[in-house]
Amino acid sequence: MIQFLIKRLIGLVFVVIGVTFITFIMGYFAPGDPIRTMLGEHFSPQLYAQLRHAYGLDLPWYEQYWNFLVHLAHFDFGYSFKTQGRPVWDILKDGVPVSMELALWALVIYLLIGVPVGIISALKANTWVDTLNMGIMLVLYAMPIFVFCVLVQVLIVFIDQETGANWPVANWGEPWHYTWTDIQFKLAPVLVFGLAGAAYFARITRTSMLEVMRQDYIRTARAKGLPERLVIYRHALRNALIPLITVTGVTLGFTITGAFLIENIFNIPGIGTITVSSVLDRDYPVIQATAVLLAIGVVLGNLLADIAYTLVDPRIKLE
Amino acid sequence: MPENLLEVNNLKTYFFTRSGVVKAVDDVSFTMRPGEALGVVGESGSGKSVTALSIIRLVASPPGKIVGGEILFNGENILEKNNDEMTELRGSKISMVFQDPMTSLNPVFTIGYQIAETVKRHRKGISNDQAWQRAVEMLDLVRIPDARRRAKSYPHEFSGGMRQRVMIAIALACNPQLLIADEPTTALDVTIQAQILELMKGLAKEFGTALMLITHDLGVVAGTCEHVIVMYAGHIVESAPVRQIFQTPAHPYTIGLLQSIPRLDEKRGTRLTPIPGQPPDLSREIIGCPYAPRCPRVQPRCRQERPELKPVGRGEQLAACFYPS
Repeated sequence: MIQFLIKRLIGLVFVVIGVTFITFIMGYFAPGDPIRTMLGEHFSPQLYAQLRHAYGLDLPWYEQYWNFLVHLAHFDFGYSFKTQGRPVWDILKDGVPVSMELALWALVIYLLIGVPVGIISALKANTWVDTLNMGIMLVLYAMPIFVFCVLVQVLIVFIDQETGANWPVANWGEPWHYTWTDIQFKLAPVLVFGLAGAAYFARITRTSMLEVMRQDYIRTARAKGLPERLVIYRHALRNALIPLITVTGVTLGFTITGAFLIENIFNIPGIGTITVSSVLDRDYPVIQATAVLLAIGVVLGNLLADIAYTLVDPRIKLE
Repeated sequence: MPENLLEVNNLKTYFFTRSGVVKAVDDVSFTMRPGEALGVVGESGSGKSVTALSIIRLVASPPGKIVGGEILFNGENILEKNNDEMTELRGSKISMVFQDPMTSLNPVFTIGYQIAETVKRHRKGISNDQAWQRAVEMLDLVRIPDARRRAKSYPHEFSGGMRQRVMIAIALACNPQLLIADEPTTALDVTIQAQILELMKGLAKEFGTALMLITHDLGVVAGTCEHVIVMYAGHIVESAPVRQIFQTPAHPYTIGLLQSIPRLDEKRGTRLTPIPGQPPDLSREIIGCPYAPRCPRVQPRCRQERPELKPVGRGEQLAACFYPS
């Protein structure tokens, strides 16, 4: 177990190096100049050269990359271009809890709505219940998330106008606080994020459950005289949930970096919004840092999934 | 107490598929006495497994459906029981062992748990500890070495033969009156086959359990059963005590089956005689004897009329043939 964890953490280092290298190269060769973007239309060539030097942008790319890695090894993400010298971590640290909060609540909805809907559909496979469930889930899953967001916002505005309520359509409240105002801010984006993902979870659960219900050991469980309730919840469900662990692990990994589109449309100050604006501003240190966060998140999410596997499936040993 | 443990009368189990109605079991009747060992023989698709699944009422539905007949178990018609009554019966009075031991056990539960679960289901008021004790005892009975420790193992830690022993332990844990074994040794290698059959036969005798052994292998039946039913295309074509099946087979199909088994006492170089042709498509209406197209002794009458299962004048032996030998 310890050996497995050490191996995985060493692997993580290489994943981070790979991810940062690719984002670095792409940023370096992409058109556009961060200093120009920063200075605007009118600036003196002297100031331009001075700033380029200050940020190390006059060095060859491999030296820049090397400097980045050295700083990263000291958990130093460098300084933002855009905000003129503010440390990158300073910008990100407020976004992380917001994004995680949004994504974790969404994950709760995936599991609480997606999984039961999937199970019901599988047990009622090819009846009207299944068709209705899967129809709704297909619409939720197939609809582009930005369309879904805007639809919900329009709906909220409409209800506000009709009832005189003052339900907000943007912003987030205090992270991890749940006063009535906080809930009003958080409910709509969490529901949108949650339902879209729940649709995906429902489809996976249904497929997995149908697969398991065909297995010989389900017939054995019935032949033992177990009532159908136990056949399903004891013998089938535990096996059917195994594939869901992978999906949950990966989803968990993405929670740190948040949901780019949902955060932007609802104007939520999470990592997603920060990433998008840093890309538009060519704020490379911030882009790099979010890429590193994403990589770490995905690797840790998968690690958790692997550990969870061993708890559920005795055939799997960590090695 | 009725004389027969099991009485199947005119059982019809059909499958309603897109390409038509498949008459997997069509008008099958037979009886079993308490403690009797009955062999059901036939090739793939002859309806032997579906007959077994009908008795325990586990035919996949849809598409399968028992459309006619009755199955009397201890004089009560199983087909009239509701789901709760059926689950009471399954695993306690009637149990089943399936063909593929590799997939028949749930991979995420220990062996001991899977045995104890059955015991707990059917013995009212038994504690978890007692159920576990019974599981260990059963593992011991099916000769799993070091049963106490092995009860805590998972199915993937067992070989195929061991898993089939576990299946037998599950099936017999509640002293059933009838054990149905559907090709229990087909998926095992030959040396293990004999051990498993021996074990099953011995335990059935010890527990006073009637054994219905389904197989396509007449050799398996010879050493294990007292009476044999031969099935073909959803019908019983011959029914006889095991000795008569081998010494004086009456139906041409039975004769064909026996001739296609290699024998030790034959001269070397003698060729086996296979049965030519294929079994009929059961989704089509069959007129006359279903074996007629492959029968070496076919007469015009065989193609027009279906022969009934009738005594051939040698005690208990019955055959569905106009011209039995």
